[in-house]
Amino acid sequence: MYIQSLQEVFGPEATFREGQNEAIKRLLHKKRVLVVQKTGWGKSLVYFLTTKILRDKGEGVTLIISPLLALTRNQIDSTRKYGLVADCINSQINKTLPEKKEVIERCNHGECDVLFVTPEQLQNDNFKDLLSQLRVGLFVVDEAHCISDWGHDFRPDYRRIHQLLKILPKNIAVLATTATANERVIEDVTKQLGDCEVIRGDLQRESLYLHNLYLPNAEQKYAWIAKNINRLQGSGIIYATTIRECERLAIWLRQNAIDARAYHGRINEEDKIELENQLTNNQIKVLVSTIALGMGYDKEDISFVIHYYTPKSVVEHYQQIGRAGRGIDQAVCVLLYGGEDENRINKHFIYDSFPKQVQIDQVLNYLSQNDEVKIATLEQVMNIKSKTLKQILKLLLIDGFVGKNGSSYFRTLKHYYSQQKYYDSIINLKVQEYNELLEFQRTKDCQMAYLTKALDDPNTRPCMKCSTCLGEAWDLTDDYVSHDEINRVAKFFAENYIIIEPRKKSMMTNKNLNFIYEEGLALSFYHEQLGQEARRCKYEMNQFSDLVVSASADKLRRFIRDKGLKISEMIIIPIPSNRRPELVPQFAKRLANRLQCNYVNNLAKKPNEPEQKSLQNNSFQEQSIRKHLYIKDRVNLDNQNILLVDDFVDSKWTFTVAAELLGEMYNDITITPFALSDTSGSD
Amino acid sequence: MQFTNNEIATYLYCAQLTQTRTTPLTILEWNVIVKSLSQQKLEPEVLLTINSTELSNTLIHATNAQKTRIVEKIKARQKLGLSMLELEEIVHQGFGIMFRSKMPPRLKKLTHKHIPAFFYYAGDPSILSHRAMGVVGARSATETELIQTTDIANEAASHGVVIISGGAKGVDTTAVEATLQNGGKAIVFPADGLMKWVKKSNIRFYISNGQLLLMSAQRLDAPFSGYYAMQRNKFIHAPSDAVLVASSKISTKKKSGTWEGVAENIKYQWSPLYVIGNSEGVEQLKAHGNAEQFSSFDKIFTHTEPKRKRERKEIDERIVSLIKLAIAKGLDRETLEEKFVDVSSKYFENQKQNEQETSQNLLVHEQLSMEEYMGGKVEES
Repeated sequence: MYIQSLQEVFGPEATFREGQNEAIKRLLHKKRVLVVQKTGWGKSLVYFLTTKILRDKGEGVTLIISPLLALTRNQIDSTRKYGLVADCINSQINKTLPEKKEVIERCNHGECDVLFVTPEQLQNDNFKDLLSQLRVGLFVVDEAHCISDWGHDFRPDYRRIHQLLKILPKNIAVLATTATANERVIEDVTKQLGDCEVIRGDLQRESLYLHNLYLPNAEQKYAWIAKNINRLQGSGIIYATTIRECERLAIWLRQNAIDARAYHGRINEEDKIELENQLTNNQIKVLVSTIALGMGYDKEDISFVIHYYTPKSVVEHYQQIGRAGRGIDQAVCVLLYGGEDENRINKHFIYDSFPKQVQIDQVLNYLSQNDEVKIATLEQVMNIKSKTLKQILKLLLIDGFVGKNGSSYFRTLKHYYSQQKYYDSIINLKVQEYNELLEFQRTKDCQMAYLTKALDDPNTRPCMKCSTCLGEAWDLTDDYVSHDEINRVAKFFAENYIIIEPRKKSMMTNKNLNFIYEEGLALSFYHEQLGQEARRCKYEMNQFSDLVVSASADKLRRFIRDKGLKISEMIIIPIPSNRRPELVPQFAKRLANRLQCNYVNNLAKKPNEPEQKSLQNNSFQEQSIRKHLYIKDRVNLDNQNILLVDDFVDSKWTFTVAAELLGEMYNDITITPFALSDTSGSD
Repeated sequence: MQFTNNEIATYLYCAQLTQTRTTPLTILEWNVIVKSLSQQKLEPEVLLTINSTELSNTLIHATNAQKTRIVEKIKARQKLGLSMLELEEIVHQGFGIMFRSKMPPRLKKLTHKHIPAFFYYAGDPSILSHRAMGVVGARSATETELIQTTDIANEAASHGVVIISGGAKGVDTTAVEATLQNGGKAIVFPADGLMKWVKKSNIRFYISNGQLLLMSAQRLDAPFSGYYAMQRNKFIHAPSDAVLVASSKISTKKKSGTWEGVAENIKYQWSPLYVIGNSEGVEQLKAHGNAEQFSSFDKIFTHTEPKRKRERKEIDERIVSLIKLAIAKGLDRETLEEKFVDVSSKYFENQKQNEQETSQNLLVHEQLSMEEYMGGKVEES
């Protein structure tokens, strides 16, 4: 019955896929529908065609809640086929309120039919006021598994949508779509939607050739990637965990004459669009991306997806490889895994994904006893990491236990009940899911069947395409990496600098610092081989090995030279510690010997300094260091270039305060910090 | 908090929703709609889907001018369902919405002309079921008047009497604070939105302690409004069992809020007035016989007790005299007992039928049941 509308868009030959017609019919009757279908089934056809018919009837616009910006841009383009105009509102593209307002007005004046909004926008009061002026006929929740606590992609922002669905008047049709929901999630989402129809189909992706490969360290993985990328047809995506890893891997590939670019949250919006376009047009071979590029990036012919990043669950993995092979017959998806540290760190993050109850109680009690409290005040009175404090406030805000007014927070009327059990249940689920992924990495079963089974697909069957099904016959990749290849990577790592950026402001006074150090150097990341070596040396032997000393000396020589300074004219000063009084000075002395430069031990700490780790936020850390660190010997250091040496660097407050003390004492000096390992972000 | 489709429709069309840049229905317009719908066995939820022509035809109780206005207002908001984000936020922060169907008899003493489609509230609404005394008075009350107010409010706590006030500075605040500190309960109808109130930690303390209920017909973030301040006087006078006037000026060209509220109470006979002190308003109330000097809670709240006893005694006496009459006419004891059961069962059967009819007409019951409290007199709009 809606075939006519379909054919107007796609030509006289077009027909519906199973379930599409049904879904459209229900929606036009203002009913609620949950669509669980694999990527490529045509979920967007359902909402775009429904929108077209509703708009022809004079109904309001379609509002689509969708989590990622990349998806938004891409689908905006595909609406043109339907004769619809789409627009989007998110924190990147239209930042100011007047810009957002203009979009809403265009919607209400019939100049726009489909509006994409990111879920975190629904937390913004000013924006909610604007949305209240929007005439809406169809409300779509994309990636609807996110509204379930049991979905693999728990997002606090989605919890409000759950509540909104209960209150939304029945004259607005609701469509929820996902490709990645198992029975439990489907049941949960269905319950939240109220009276709704589920349209569900087969999840097996015929075009994907899956391959899980064990390579226990970063060097091997880098070597494998460089070797195999050009064997793979077309262009594709490599997923990596951190921004720095994306950058470094992209540099490595470019050194290997592979046209690779990094794509992540710190890249500005215009450059992102440019990168996406280049990938879409096959102008670059590969984007090395954090998971910022993902959901709904709609390139038809992504030929490969390589996971350097370890997904947190098989469902997340299924979703990420789902970008590949949409409009082509063959795409290769490789999951590189291995490394004990990696698992330890991943599990640590899972266990650490919610704040501790005592900290939550601390914040709540303080807010209960006060009227409105500025966040800066909270940071000053509470010894809680500012990232954790922000997370606590966000969770409390989303659960309605606190309210927000500008930068002030206040306790609401809602009775607080401990969320610990709830958080624990989510953490347990995540651990289970992660263990399932670890199992998947080593599975001897069909890899595709493993994935669809995890999603409770009743039609699970062997794919006859993955490296398990094909066994010896798998020839899409060459998995042997030689010693030479690995050594080349090791050399590359050694030559790559990990920069310690200077701090510019005091957190206590919010004023500029009197003295700022130069860009410094860290020898390693904590999770790399050298980082782990340094950790072992510090905690198990209380002395750094020769390996660490010589690696430091090699790297420092080049680094200092590149800065245009002479290493032999530098003065090395160690950061003191009362807990391990010999560890760093000994190391610094050996380093000075090796580099043939001067060594001065003129910094000291007053006793009873609390351990840095116990000081949770910037304000506390800076305060404590300022209280304890001092210059003990007034040797003359005027006009010198100083190398400040410490073992691990995280918050950078020690370097910052030490540099300021020295800078205030001596004339015309420069200070360059050096640390064995950058532990920031790894806890 | 779960809402029915009727409640969602009520909120969508009657809430201020200033952010939508549209106008809500007035109380009178809403009453006309409800009355018209109920006579056609329709419920407010149809307002979510009904088209303009149908709506216009449905509004049988509306004047032509009203019809045009109502149709326009409904049309303007019909597609703005997303503005319910506001309601979601309100509930999210722990506020409640009391629609007419949930309002206790105490509030329904207001005629339906005055009763809003819903109140926002913060706190335990069951406080409304206790005996209550309104306390009103000028901001400029004297030290003596305030001390006396404090004493009375303290005593209210020990008598289990809830204080109802407007939350203004002076008498209002003095009375509420005194009773709360003494473990008593209070209901406040502030002249500004509730949001500002609940941000104060001591207010939240009394609310979570079950001692304080805040109510307002205005949106949560409403600033102080002189107009609403006058409107909300009736929310203090009508639900109270008695009202204490601690101090009042007399309205001249410049209107006195306290005096206007008192005058309205006298006009509608909502609740008996008691006074303390010797402000000009108080003196005039006494002189005109509109108020008594406050003496004690026992006097205010017990004189209703003997009245009830008297009524009971009267009924008993009349039944006894009927029985005497029946015996005199020659009925024996058995027939008399049978007759008694017969008559009473017939009576209750009739009543049950009535009830069924009423529940069929649930909507009128929900929305307009205050008529019952006005002796069936429906005020014309």
